[in-house]
Amino acid sequence: MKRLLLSFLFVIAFGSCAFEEGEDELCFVGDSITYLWDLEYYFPNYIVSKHAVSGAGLKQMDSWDVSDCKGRTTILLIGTNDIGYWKSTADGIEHLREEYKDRFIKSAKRIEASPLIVLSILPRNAWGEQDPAVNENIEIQNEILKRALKTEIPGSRFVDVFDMFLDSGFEIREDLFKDGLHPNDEGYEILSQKIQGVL
Amino acid sequence: MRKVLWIALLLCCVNLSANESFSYLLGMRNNHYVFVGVEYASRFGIAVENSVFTQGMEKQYVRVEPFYRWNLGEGLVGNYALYAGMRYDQDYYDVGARLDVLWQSYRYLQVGGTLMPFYDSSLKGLVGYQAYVQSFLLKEIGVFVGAKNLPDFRNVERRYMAGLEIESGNLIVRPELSFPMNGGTHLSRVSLFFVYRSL
Repeated sequence: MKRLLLSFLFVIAFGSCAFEEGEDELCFVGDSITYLWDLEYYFPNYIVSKHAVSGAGLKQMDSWDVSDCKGRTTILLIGTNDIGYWKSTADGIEHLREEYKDRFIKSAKRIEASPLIVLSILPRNAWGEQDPAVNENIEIQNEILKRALKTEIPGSRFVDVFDMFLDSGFEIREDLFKDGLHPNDEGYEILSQKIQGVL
Repeated sequence: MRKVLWIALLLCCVNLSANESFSYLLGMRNNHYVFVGVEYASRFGIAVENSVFTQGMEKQYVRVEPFYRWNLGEGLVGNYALYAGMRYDQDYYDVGARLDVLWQSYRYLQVGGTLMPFYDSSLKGLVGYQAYVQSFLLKEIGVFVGAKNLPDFRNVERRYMAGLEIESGNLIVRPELSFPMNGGTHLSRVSLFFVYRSL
């Protein structure tokens, strides 16, 4: 038994030198979609920290202490509570999109993640009565965010899952959502696999 | 890494058919980890466990676990185990010791518990535990309820648990439903443990 214990201590001592610290840690920041995500289950071999509150948008996120995400791989999924009612046909929508992009980049920079992985805002059909023009707007906003991240936050990744959750005519794929807003297990499986693909 | 696995598997299987004191076991825990092992005189044994994550090969996890099963009489049985594991890409390792105890004097009321101090190269030192009561109201099917913080994956999580224990010949199957102690039934989890012993 003593020999076994000594071997274990040996592994600990030398392991500390051989293994990289922080490589296996993930930080998630987001709204209820992240809050409801069983991250330990979908990312079983990572240490996960989660900053997520139902109903949150950029304004709320800016008040959170996310200092533990600094320098760490961070997955950001937020926006549906901010722009979830904007329609692509609304007056002045171009201006709103640009303004939102600026706010998004500012909030994302504040996290100081390395690298930052941004998941595209998901399409939605809250309460089954949302105008498809909302999803058309989300698609355009995602494109704007994708372009901005490339130039404003070098090294960041934009993971576009919007189309995967979308059916024809800007309708959502009901089979991937619990309630038109939050993914079901199958939806979370897709999100997780896409994230794992870039880790 | 593959060579190490093959050698470990070969060691597990050596002389199985030649000596009746040896038996083999195979099974799965937490849906994500399969294991094979060899046991001598239903007491000493060693098992090798490997993850079956949907991620790439380098993200898989392997663990070696020598153990000793004991029976103190009066219905008190248990298991000592030591383990050491690591992710294939060497991003982390963990080592730990585990003590399982089950008082099973009566079929209708059994009490069990586990204590598992362990060290994870990122999480550092932690102690996992679980306590449960179980009852075999039917010949081969029991129910259990309890609480635990034993890691389903890497980190400790305080959860309530309930499930079935089905014993049929050499096979034990243990499906479990668990949910976090701090509310949040949305993070409930169904996991499956089973083990088959050749003797």
